[in-house]
Amino acid sequence: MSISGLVVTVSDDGAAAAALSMLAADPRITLGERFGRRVAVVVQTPSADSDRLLWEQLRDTPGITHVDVTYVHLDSDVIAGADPNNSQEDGPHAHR
Amino acid sequence: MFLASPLKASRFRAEAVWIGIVAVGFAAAAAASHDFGQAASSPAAATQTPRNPPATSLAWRLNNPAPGLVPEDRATPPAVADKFAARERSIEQRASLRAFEGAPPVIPHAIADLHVQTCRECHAQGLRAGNKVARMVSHTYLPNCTQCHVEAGVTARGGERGPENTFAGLRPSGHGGTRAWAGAPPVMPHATFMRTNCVSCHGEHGYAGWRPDHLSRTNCVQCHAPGAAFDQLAPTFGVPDVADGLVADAPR
Amino acid sequence: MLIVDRRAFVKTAAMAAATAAAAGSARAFSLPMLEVQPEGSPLRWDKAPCRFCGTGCHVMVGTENGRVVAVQGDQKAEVNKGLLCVKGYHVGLALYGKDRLTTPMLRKDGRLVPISWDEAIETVAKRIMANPSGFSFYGSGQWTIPEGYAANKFVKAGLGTNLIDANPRLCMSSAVTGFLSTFGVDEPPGVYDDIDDCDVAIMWGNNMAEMHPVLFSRLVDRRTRGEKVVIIDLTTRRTRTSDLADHVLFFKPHGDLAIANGIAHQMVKSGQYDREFVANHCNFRKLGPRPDEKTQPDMLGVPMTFEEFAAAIEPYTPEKVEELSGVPADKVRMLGDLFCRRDLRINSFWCMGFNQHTRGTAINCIVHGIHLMSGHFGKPGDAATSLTGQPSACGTAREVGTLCHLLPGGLTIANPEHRRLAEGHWNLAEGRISGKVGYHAVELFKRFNTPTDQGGDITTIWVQVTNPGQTLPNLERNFLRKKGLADKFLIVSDVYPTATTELADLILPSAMWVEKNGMYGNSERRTQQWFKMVQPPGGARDDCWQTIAVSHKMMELGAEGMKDKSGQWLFHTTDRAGKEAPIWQWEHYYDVNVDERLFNEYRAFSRHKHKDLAPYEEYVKARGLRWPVVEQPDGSWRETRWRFSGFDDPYVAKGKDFQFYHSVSKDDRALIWFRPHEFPPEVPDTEYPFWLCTGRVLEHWHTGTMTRRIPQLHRAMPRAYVEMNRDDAARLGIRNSEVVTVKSRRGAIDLPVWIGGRGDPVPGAVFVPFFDETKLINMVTLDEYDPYSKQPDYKKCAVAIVRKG
Repeated sequence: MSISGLVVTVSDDGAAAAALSMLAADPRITLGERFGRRVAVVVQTPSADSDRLLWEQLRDTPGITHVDVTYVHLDSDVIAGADPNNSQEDGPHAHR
Repeated sequence: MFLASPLKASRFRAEAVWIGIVAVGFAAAAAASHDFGQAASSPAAATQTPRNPPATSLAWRLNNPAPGLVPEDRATPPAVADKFAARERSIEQRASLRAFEGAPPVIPHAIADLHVQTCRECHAQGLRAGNKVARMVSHTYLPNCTQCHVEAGVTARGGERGPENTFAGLRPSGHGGTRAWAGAPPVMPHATFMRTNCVSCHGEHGYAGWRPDHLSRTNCVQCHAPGAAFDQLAPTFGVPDVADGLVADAPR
Repeated sequence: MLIVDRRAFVKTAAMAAATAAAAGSARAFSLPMLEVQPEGSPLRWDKAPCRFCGTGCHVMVGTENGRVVAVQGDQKAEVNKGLLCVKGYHVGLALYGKDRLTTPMLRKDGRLVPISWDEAIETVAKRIMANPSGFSFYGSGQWTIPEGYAANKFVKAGLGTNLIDANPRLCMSSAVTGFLSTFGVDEPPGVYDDIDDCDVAIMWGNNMAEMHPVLFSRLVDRRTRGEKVVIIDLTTRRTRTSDLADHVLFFKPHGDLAIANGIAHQMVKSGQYDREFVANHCNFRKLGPRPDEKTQPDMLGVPMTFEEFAAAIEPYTPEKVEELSGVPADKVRMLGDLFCRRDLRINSFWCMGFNQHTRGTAINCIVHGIHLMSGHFGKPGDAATSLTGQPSACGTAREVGTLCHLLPGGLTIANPEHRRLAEGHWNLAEGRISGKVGYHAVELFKRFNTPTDQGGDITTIWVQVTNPGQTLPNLERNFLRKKGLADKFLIVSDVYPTATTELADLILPSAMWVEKNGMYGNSERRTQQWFKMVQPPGGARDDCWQTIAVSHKMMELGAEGMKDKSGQWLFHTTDRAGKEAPIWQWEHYYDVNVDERLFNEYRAFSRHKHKDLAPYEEYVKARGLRWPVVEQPDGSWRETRWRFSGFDDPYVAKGKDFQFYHSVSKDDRALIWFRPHEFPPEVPDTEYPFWLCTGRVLEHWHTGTMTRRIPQLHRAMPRAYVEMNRDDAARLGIRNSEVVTVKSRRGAIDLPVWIGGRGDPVPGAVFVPFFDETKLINMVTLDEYDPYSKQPDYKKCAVAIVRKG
């Protein structure tokens, strides 16, 4: 389980509204307060990789101009499940 | 970039955890997004992560300290895959001399039984002789080497196997340290007690695959935090490590 | 806001961070309070004292899935501050040798046959009941405190005999009589803190670098910090300790008596002893005349004036000392000068060199004496430190009194008032505790190895946690003769097959170390506690349970002695609800904490001689506490570091600098003894021209039953050897690694020679370590002992080195 806090910056054209409804509809995403063009967002996905993928997808969404990561939390089951050959995150564990 | 430490599950019971983080205001937000309050988006903004990072992201990380600066065709050089295999071998090699993770290694060669300070001839700085490596001592200066380190038993005196022992010791994970976010300096995935000398494993006479690309930055702990789950106490840097060895070769 | 669900917490935290960044405000935000529970991380760390030596290092034991997987030095421990020695680092492996004993076994027609625990317990009970005055326990300085206490009560209350002795008779006994003779009460007045403060450290026949390595490091690490510590190694052979010493002074066997007297001589001659301290706090003492040929004079001696002392010490000039000891006269003067100085702190250290000595009591007394006389006593760094070899020779055998002449808390069998006190604590009828002292170790086994009809009145011995089949001197006489005596019965509780189990009639598989609850007491009076962390293998069970189960079975079979005078079982234990807990049944043994129950009962004894112990739960919290532990007005418990010193010992009367409140002379004074130099009972001659010294090596602890099953330790030191001096070997034409026979009047052993190895003997001497059960050097050693402590001398006898073929 990976949880991140993001600041999503939306554009100031009509695409923004569509982007925001998409965010609201996505079960992985919780929308927070909006400050002008910036919205606080919490994202929860099964793993760090899927988290990262989601950030990228958000960046590619029309109507969203920036995605900035402000907070990342990794659960140890994410770490335990990480594949060393194919993951950006490695975990500290010292058990056999 | 605005950063909060990830909350880690603690092995030991903690009554309460308070983490106070001061938002640095404009600077934090400004670092996060390029133009505060402005509409323009900038795909070439240096702080943005590149789109669609390649699948072998370890490769990407090793070779892309500054995101977006390195072309994608350099993302998976063979050296990187080799490095990872070497890293695995090093973990095995290191573990082979230790009964468990945290045990002092046995000595894989004959030693002088008296005059134990001869150890330092090779291990004070570390050295390479042919295909053999003498690692630099990883802990601060302790004069009684053979108190903890004994011969592995490959000497002329001969070693019998003796009765078998079914002990199976703690092993390191084999993985690197966690990062707070992509590109962050990894936390040390090991205890620091008796390992205050990073160069011992990660330096010139260290283990294959463990050498960082920024060895010349000598103040490792400026960026790399000790893993809280490993040490029994708070990080030991700045606190004397059993014997406060201030100089490498202290006078008798 | 208190949140318990971690996921919800994290999401809130993430939102808070994102919100703050999005808002771009400078306001601080903080994450809500959370009670953090440990994750389902399987690795668990718990504290315990190390299983091995008397240093008493504290370790953290890592367990996972019911097994020990790692050990770390406990960084919070004052003794070792996170450091261990190679044995301590590998102590976790001691549990996992493949040949762990897991089933009770009875020898039938020469073969060991597995039996049930019920049958085993009944066998023991019946055997004891058939002849209680022919039964003795033989226990150990590796007994936990509750184990020793249970065995002690079993014998002294349950059987009404004093037939219990323990292996500290072979290791610490002379230190005890030395303390008793000097201070009137056992155990060191000082602590390990003295190591941190001394300016001069004198090793008296003590290879501290290998035997108490963590303490030795504590000493030499001070040099790393730039402190000046002078180390003087008084030794009979070059060792690793010599390596790091400033002065290495070789002396002849028993030369220690002369050297110490030489130091006293110089102080008297120069007048530069601490006159004030001597005048205010000391008396002089000597042994009285012998009542008859066979009887030694009373240990507590007769008064002596200073003038008489001066006259007695007169012959020990530096030149005379050189003649007797081999240490050059100018070095003897150097030592004397050091003691005369008031600006230095001097810490003497000794262990088996002093104790395994036919004049062990004497040498202990003399060195206490020179420290007292010179005023190098009772302040941080000024100490005469007796180091202990076993993890709980102090805590169990000495303090609980598991010896044939003692009661718990330093009380003695010989003192009728003490017996009354014990009867009071144990709720026994008056006179229940016998005034007849039992048999000490060597005497015990001698009788066991003598036919019953020839005065061998001991017919059953129950050995727990020790290996006399390897450690008794003169093994042929004192152990192996049992083989031919069909009516003798040897019960052995142990964890691995040993030299002792070879001749056992009944073997009881036992739990070890962190497979059971336990408490140990180390060399500096520090009592330490641990909880059971893993299960013992197979059918192995706690030694303490075994003793208790036999006691209950005996009571069931009619042994009234197992009840106190109110008719209640001696080990009667209730749970928190007040109901009796059936702790004689193994399934219920851990329903209650038997350790706690026994320890808190034993505590009551500790007040009499100011060895106060705190309640059990205090030791659970602490990394050990040094007694006397005294309750403070605010309810906390304060340990004592320097006994008899006014600045630290709460039992010293207000206003006094020092008070020896158990003074032999009953006037708050310590005794400075005169004891003459005497030659060893067996010295080299033409037939047996070499001195044999025996001892240990770093890698192996005592008889190696644990350490030889740890691959890293076994491979580092796989077998025993005989160290020879290079010139002696050359003279005899003996080459390195050649196998020779080491022969004495008592027996012979073949060993490979090692020249230029771990230690280097002086010409005319050889050294053999005793850890190797395939090379029982105690077939060769001498069973003469100190007349007061009854401790044998393993350090000197005469041998021949014979080339084979």
